Amino acid sequence: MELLECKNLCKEFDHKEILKNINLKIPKGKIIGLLGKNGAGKTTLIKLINDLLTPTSGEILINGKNPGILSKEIISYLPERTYLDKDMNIKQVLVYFEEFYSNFNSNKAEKLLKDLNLDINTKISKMSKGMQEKLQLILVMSREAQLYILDEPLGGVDPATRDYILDTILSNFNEGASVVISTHLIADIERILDEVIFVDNGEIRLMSSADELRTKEKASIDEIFRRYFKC
Amino acid sequence: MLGKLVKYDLKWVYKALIVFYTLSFIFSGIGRALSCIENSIVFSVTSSISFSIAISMMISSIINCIMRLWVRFYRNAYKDEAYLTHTLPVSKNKIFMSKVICAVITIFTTFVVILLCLFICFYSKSNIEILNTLLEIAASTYEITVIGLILLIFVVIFLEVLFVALIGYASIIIGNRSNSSKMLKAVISGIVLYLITQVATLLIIFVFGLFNKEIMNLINTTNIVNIDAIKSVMFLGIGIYMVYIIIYYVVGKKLFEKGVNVD
Amino acid sequence: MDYIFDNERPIYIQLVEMLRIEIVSGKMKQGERLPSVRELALIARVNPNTMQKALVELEEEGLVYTERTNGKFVTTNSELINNIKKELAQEKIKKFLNDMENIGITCDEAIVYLQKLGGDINGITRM
Repeated sequence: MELLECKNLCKEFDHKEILKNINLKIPKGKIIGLLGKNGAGKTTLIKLINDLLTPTSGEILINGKNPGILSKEIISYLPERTYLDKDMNIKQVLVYFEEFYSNFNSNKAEKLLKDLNLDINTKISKMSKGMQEKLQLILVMSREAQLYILDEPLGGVDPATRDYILDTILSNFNEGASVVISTHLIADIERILDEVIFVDNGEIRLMSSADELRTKEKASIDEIFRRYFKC
Repeated sequence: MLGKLVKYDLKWVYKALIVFYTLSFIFSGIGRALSCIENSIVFSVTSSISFSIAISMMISSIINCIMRLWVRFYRNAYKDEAYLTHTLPVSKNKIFMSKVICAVITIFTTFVVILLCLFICFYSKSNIEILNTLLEIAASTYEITVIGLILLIFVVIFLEVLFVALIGYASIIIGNRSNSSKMLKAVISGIVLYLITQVATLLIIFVFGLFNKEIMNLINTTNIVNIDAIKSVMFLGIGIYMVYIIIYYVVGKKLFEKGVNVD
Repeated sequence: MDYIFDNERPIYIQLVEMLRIEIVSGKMKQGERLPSVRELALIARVNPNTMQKALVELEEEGLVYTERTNGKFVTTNSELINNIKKELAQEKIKKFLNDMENIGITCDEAIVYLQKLGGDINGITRM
């Protein structure tokens, strides 16, 4: 049984097809790049998997079941938004995660927060957007999940932060778990990917192992992507 | 899980409500204290001002309570926070139920606070006597006890407010099912739902009137209103509101469980 | 060691090359216990799967061996290490001579150049 499977998945908004017949299998224990330009449909696909949208047709199976309580238990999702209650402080947020997620490791989160020199009593509203994003990454990576879905984790960050984010992902994802990273900044991330999925215009254009693709095309994934989607 | 959801919802709603509660109590207290000082125009004027502030605070706490319930639901289920709410391992049913329970509790406490404040403002032997005689007269005409009468009024208003809160929830859900100008659609569907429900209420009363002459008289004539008829309508009202509340809860729940459409 | 990758070639192949050099150069000592796959992956900032693949490759070459419960170790087979070292040296020299040929320098001339500059090898690397 696949960790995640999409079968003939379609999503329309007001009769406009955003996702067209997506068929996709994500196995266990891989880091997968969901690569596509802005507006290609990456976020829509991720939101469907996370039950924030409902499919127009087709099916999503997570460990063989439709999105629901069980899938939410095993998927740890980092959206592009800052989603925390701004009135809470970090400590309260940690308690919140601990209360709702049985697989949340608060010791790990506290340790990671310490590395960031963040005072645990800081209110979310007092933190910069960048800091909030780092906090969310820590929260998401501190869950011992089976599937991590990270939507544009590198969007608009400086190189130092980029390294921090990649290190945090690599050093914290649960052994045997899979990580799906959606991004349009391919060069920054391609060396950690096992598999790549090219998404364009609501369709999956290519799925391949990253190294096989490099060997076949004798170029970087970034380069291959550019060739595929010349604007 | 439901308990935890309710806990966080209550915390959020009460955070601001508590300010209004406190102000209501403070101004009621001040007004009452100043009114006890006799023979002073200044004090009696400030006392009246305090009372009016207290009453406006009580009204504000009702309005604030409902607004905060709606804002909480809207933000928590459809705005940025939705990305967290809907990825918690909790069913949509429980998320919605938590909002409804939160509405019941906060509206109830708001009414209790208002009653207490009114008591602080106006409690005096003579006032109570006046109230008592009034209530006794009313109660005897209604053929129920004084306490029953108070309860009856309390229940009717409470149900009415709860019903408005639930219409708000349902409208937010309906508005957010579409893909554009969600807020506007939510407001419009709220108004439409309210009007439809009110028309339906009149129709129901009319239908009941077909079987109950007294109620029919209430509708048909401009004569002095018959107390019995009012009483029947009151009880009918309670029944109707209860049914509406259940209907809106079920409809809201069903629509919410079908899935959200988060931007 | 800094792990800098060329995105145009499979990462695991580059890892194999880097680790091979670490071993033949003696930076990783014979018989030394390797950190876990996860730790190695973190040091190189790569995917643990990729590191695993690279280690499997090294194991096939014989440069690394697994002790069932204790983890992975660098081989103690000096002969193998020397052979691989020689192979690497040959490869590099071939490439070097090839480059020289491309700029019109024959093998013999290249040797002369090398001897001349040999005393100042550091100067060259800094050039």
